[in-house]
Amino acid sequence: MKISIKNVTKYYDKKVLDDISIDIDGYSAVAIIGLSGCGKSTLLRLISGIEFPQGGEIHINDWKSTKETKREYQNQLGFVFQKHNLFPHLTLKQNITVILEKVKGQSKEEAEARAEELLNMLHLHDEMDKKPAKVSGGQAQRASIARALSTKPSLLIMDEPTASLDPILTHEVLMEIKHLKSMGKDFIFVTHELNFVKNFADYVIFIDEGKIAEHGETNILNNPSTDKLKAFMKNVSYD
Amino acid sequence: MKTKKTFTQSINKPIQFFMAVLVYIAFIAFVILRVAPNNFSISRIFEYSGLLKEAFKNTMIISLFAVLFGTVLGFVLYLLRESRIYFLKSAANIFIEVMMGTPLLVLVFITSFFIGEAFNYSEDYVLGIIALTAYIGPYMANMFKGAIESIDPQQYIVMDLYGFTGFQKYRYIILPQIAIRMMPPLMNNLSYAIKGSSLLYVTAVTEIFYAIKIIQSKTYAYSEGYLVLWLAYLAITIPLTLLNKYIESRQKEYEDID
Repeated sequence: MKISIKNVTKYYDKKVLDDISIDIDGYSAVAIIGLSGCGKSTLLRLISGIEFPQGGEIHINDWKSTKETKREYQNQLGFVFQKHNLFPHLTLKQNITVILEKVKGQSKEEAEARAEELLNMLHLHDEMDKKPAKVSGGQAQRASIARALSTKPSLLIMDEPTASLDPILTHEVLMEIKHLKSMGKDFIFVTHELNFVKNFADYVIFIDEGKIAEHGETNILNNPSTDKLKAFMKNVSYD
Repeated sequence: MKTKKTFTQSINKPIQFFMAVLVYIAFIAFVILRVAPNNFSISRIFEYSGLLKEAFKNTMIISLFAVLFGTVLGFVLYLLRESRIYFLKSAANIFIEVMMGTPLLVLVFITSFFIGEAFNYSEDYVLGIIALTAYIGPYMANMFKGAIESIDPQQYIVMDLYGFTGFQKYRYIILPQIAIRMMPPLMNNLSYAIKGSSLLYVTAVTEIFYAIKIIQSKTYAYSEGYLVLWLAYLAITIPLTLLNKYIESRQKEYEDID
């Protein structure tokens, strides 16, 4: 995967991202880390094309994120959020088929076959006809991953995909994400799970006060070269 | 927390309920005995049971149509109020404010005697339904607003990411979710419409109130007439309330989300 961010600036009332630039190529799981409020979630929203910067450009692979190309750009991506955000009135399976059949125009059979295939892959065979409120948080989050994969994106964007889960459910979701990586999917994600970053990411972008303070392959977490990342690792390491 | 009911508690409740009912019946009996002590006879009213049935049917039809159209009008008003075009937004807001401030009786008069007149239209049933619809619509618009705003904003982000059109959002995601939430207010409005339709008697629509008035003038059975009238409305509205309670309990089950 290729990520190219040029001079991106984003402010709401105050500046959140300040002239960020980075070019990376050839990594398949890129983690964005940093303290709460550092701007990492904003950067992920810009990369997702949910919001747009006031200045600068964002390219992922050959796709450019602009207001005009929003539709085509987002078609390349799958999204997993902190909360599962499944539609509560639909079963896990219908949460996928409503998108494939009603929005993307696939046939009913095609959509159902795809939904079943994905839910099976994420070990939700017995839950696919249940509504989100009737399954565990981990199962719901896995269903939301299945939904994110339904449109066959090559890149998954994940915003704290395990933040609302307990450790056991977190493990269950992270195992599935690892499995997807082995199948060749790319990932850009924000997380507080440093162990997961170490195990899973192959590139890390550390954001501090709206700027990229340090970035590099994942082993920079073990040997930080800046004081800021050193301090961050010291403060957040739980192990 | 549920505690196991003892035998006395479980038998107490129906008896206490029945006693409460008796207090009211005693009060009504007292009033009737004071007002019409000698010749009280409900059967005089039922000599005209054909007219009563007809009126009962009309009341139901008028009310059901008023609620149906009122719901559609309410949804349209909601959409207009959410419009980016300020003219449409204002038009909806003015309509809602004016209608909510107008007594139904005034609305019935204006619709039948002035608006109907202006358009050379004199079908009082239809004008009555229009008046009730205009009265209910603004309340339904507010119900839609409340129900739709109760949907998690994150769902809109998801719909946008997957490219739902406006129609698809409402058809597949929003309306199905609020349908069950809208049932209690819908039932309440049906109850209002049924009670409110009694005001249509001023334009000579043959609904229950009007029919009773006619029967009273023929039989002079005034107290009997009002009693039957009253019971007729209760016979419709109390089952509606019970149905509503049942739906609300089902709804709680449906929305039991962790």
